[in-house]
Amino acid sequence: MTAQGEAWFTARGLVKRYGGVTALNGVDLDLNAGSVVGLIGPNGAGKSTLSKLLAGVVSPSEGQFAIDGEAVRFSDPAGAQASGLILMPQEIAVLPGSTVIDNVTLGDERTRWGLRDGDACRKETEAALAVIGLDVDPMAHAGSLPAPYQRMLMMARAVHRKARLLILDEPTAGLAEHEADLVVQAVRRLQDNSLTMIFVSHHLSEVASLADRVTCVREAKVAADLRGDEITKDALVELLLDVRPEDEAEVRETKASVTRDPAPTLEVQDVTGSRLRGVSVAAHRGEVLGITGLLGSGVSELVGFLVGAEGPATGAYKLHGEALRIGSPADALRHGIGYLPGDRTRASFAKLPIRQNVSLPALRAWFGRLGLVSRSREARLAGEALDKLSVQGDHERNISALSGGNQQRALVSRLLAADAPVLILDEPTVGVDIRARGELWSALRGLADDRVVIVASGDPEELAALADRVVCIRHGEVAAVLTGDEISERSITAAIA
Amino acid sequence: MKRSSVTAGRVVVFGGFLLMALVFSVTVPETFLQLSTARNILDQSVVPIVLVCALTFVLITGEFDLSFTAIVGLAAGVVVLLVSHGVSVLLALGATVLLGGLIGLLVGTLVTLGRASSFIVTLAVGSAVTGIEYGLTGQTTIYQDIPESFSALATNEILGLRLPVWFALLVVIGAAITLQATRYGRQAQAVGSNVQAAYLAGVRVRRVKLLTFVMLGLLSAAAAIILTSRASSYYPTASGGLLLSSYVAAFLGAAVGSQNRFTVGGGAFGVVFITTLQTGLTLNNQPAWTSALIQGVVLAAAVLIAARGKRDVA
Repeated sequence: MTAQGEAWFTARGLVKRYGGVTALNGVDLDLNAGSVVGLIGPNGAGKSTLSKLLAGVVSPSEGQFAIDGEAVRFSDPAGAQASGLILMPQEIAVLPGSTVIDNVTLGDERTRWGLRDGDACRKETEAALAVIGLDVDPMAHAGSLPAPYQRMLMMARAVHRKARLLILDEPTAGLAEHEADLVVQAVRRLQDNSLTMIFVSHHLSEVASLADRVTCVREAKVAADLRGDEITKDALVELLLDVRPEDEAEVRETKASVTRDPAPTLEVQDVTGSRLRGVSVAAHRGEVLGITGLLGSGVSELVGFLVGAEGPATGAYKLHGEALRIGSPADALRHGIGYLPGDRTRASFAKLPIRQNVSLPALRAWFGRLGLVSRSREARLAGEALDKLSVQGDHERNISALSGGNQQRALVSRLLAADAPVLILDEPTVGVDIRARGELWSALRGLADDRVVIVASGDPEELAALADRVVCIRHGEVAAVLTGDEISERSITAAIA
Repeated sequence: MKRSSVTAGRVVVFGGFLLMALVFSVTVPETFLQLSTARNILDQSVVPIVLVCALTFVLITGEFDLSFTAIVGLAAGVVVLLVSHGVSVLLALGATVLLGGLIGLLVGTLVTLGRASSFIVTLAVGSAVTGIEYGLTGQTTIYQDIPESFSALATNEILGLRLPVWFALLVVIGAAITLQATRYGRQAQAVGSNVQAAYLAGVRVRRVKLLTFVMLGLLSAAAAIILTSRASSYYPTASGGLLLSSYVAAFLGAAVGSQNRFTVGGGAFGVVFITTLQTGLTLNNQPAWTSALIQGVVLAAAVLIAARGKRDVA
C-alpha cells in the first residue's frame, strides 16, 4: 500500500542531547495518513529517543514539529495526545484488575453531569474494539486476556482517543508467532482506518510485511529510507548489519582449533513456559554454544530453565545422559553447572571484596561443609582464578572499585573458582569496552577446551566471534541452529528477526 | 570519600563514648570511677550482648526481627516455672533453649516461605508469643521455690568473672568466627549484599535466613536464662527495654564498622556504650525517662551515621 496525499505531520532537524551525549542528531520525518513507517536500527541508535520526542515524553533540544502546516510544541505526553500523537510503550500498560471498558476509556472517560457515563463508555469501547477487530467481553478484566489481546486493548485506547499517529514500540516482542500475527492484523485494520503508525521493531519480517516506508536510524541519524518495493526482509537485514569482513576472518581462525565431544553433556528437551514453546537444546563439551533471540523471544526464560532459576518453564533436563531435576541455582551448582547472570546488578556483591565475590560458590569445595575458612588459602585460590583472567590489583578492594570489564572478568573468575564443568553466561560482555571484550572472548574460548560453555547473547557480533553453534530463538521457538561457517552476523540477524 | 566517612563515624561514636565517660567521672566521681561499677556494667551488658550477636546476623541478611525479646520473655517465664516446679535445672535449661530455637524456626519459616515482610511477621509472632507468656505466668512475679543451683548460674565466678560474662565472651568470639570464617557466615553476607545475586550464584537463601532466625531464637532463650537466674525470679516486663537497646547497639556498631557494616564486635561495643550510659544516668539519679529519651536520640544518630557512610561508598 502506498501513502496517500500530503504529509500531515512533519518534523525537521530534530536534535536531542542528554548531557554531553547526542542521542539524535538532525532527523527529519514526514508522515502521511494511513501509512505505516517501520523504524529500525541497532540498539542505542536513537529509535526510542525519536519515539519519545514524537510522543512528548521528552522535548527536543533543537528542531520543530508541524501538524497540518502549523508549528506545534509539546511539553508533556498529555500535550502530544491532545494533538493525536500516542505512544504504545513496549511494556504492556493495561490495568489488569480493571475491565476492558475502563482500560480503553482510561483518561478520556465520557461524563454526564460530572459523573462517568457508563453507557457512553461502553458504546465507545465497543466501537473502538470493532475498529481493530478485537472480539472480547467489554466487562472482562484486562488481566484475564491473553498477551496479544492486552496489546490490542492499548491500540483500542488509541482509537478511542481519536489518535492520528500511533507509535508502536516493539508491539510483538515476547509473543508467539500466531499471537504476533494477531497484532499485525490489528495494525493493518488501523491502517485501513487511515491512522498513521510508526512500527518500531527488531522483527524485520513483520516490518517488511507491514511498512510502506522504512526508516533506519544509526548513530543518531537517519541512515536509510526505503519505500515500496525496496522493502524486503533481506534489504532490512543488510541495513542493520555493520560488519567489517576482516574481523570475521580473524575469528574463524581462532575457532578452528576446537574439537567437541560427540555426545552432548547437557541436554534440555521440549522446554515450554510463558514464552517458550517446545525448545530443545544440546550442549557439548569442547564447544561454545550460543543462544540468541530478540528481547522477549524466550532466551532469558531458557537460560533461567538451564540454571534452575524460578520461572514458568518446564521440560526435560539431562546431564551426561541422565535425567535430572534442577530446582534452584544451588542445585545446578551442585551438579557442576555454574551461572553468571547478565545484568551485573544480579551478579555482583558490590559492597563485598573481590575475594569474597569470587570465592562464594567455591567455599564448600575448598573448605568442606562445616570447615572454617582459612583466609590465606582462600586468598591464594581466589587469586589463582583471578589470575587466569588477568584481573590485577588488590583483591581486598570492593568489586565496585573495578572498571566494568574487570568486574565482568572477576565474575567469570567466580565460575572458574567454582570449578564448574558447565558454564552458562548471560550477556557476558554487556557494558565492557571493545578491547576487554576481545580478551574475554578469547578467555571464554579457552575455557571451552575441557568444559561446556553456553553463552546467551542478544548481540549477533558477539556470537559470530565466539560461538561454534548458535541456537536462534524466534517467538519462543527454535528458528535455526547455525554451525561453523553458517555463523555470521547476517545469518544470525536474519534468523532471529 | 569512603575512608573519611568511616573515620567520621568512628570519631563521633568513640568520641561520644569518651565524652560520656568523662562527664560521668566528673559528676559522680565517687561512684562512677569504681572497679565495681565497671564490673556492674559488664554484668549488665551480658544479656544484650548475647542478643546483639544473633541480631547482627539477622540484620546482615537484610531482615528485621521484632519478636526476639518476646522469645526472651516467654523463655524467662518457662524456665522459672519449670525450675520452681521442681524440674531439674539441666532439663529446664535444655527445654527452654529448645523452645527458643523452635520459635526461631517458626519465625524463619514464616519469613522465608510466606515471603512476607519480616518486620510485620515478627511483630505478629512477638505479640502472640508475649500473649502465651502472660497466659502461662499469669503476669505475676514468680520468685518462690527457685532452687539455689539455678541462681548460682549467674553468680558463680571463674577467674574473677561471673559465668554469664564468660558465656557472652564465648558467644561474641563464636559469632565473629562464624560470620567471617564459615561458609554460612559468608553466605549470610552475600545474601545481605545482593539477595538475587546470591540466589543465582547458588546460595540457598532460604536456608541461610532460616538458620539465622533459629540462632536468634536459641540465643534469646539463653539470654532469658541469664536474666532470670541473675534475678532469681521471673517478672513480667523483664525483657521490655531489650528490644530498643539491642537495635541501638547494633546500629552503633554499624556506625563504627568498616563501610558501616554490621559487625559482631561493633554490636558488642554498642552494648557497652548503652549500658555505660544507663549506669551513669542511674548513678546521677536521673529519672528513668531520660534513658529512653537518650537511647532514642543515640539510635537516630547511629542510623544516620551508618546510612551516610553507605551512601558514600555506593
